[in-house]
Amino acid sequence: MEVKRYIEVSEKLRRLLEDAEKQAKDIIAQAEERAEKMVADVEEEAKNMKLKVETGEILDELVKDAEKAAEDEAKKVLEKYERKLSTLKEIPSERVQKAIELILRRVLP
Amino acid sequence: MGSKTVELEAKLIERILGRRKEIISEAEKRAKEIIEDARERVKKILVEGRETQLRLAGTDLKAVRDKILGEAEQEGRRKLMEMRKEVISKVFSEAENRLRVIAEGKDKSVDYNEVLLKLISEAASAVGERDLVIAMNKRDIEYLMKELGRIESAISKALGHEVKLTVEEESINCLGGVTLYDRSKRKIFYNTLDGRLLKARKEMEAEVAKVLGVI
Repeated sequence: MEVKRYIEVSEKLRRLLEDAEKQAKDIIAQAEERAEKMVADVEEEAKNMKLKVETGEILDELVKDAEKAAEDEAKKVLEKYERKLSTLKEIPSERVQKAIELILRRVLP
Repeated sequence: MGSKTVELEAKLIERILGRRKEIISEAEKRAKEIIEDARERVKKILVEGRETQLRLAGTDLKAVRDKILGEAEQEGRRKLMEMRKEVISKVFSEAENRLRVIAEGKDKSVDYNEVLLKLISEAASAVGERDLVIAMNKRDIEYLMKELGRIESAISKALGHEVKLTVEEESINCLGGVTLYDRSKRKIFYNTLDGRLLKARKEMEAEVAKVLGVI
């Protein structure tokens, strides 16, 4: 009686493990399938991206992006010049006097 | 069934259930890794795609960038040049004011009569004639008429030959200084303060900019 019960339990447990392994395989297979689809989709998208440039379809969008980036850079360039301008507005009076004296020395005989 | 057997059976079931949990958990972990790897590849492919787009459109995009940045640089440089010019102009304008004060005899540190004498002497030497006509502003004419004899002898002495000066009746509009010429007006020497200032400006802008520290 006991042996029979032992065999039954063992059988149930073996099946349980088999099921678990099958379930695990399914989980991995599903993940692989999903991953493959993700990559395939994006590869297709990349191909389209290239095609869009080649046909000129996306050029406007790229140009707009480039313009925006360049305008941001241009703002920095102008800020650099503004800083230089503000230093020109604050020339020390000694320098101005020195320059005037230099001119007078040249003009007066 | 003895209690020992039941205990063994319970332990076996527990172990198997634990193992089952472990198998599922390992599979889930692996699945997560697979998806993460795929996400990384997706990201990489998109970046490469974008780079390809930029590379293919490179010339057009570079032209856009160069145009916008070039214009900004140009505008910045233009503003800077204008400001430099403005600063230098102000300094020359200040110098002109100082010359006016000097010519009016209001600057005690400079003897304008001496300056005038040197300007006449320099002009007379350049024209190189003995009989000379001299044109000046009203104020200087008045002074010269009073001092003509003394100035003629000072210049004659400085040049080493007799010089005769005739004052032009019509005055010229200038800060000070003289315009001097021979009778036939073939040789003219402009030696007004205004003219000298103008010449100085042409020659000295860079030098003045250096002193001001705006180069």
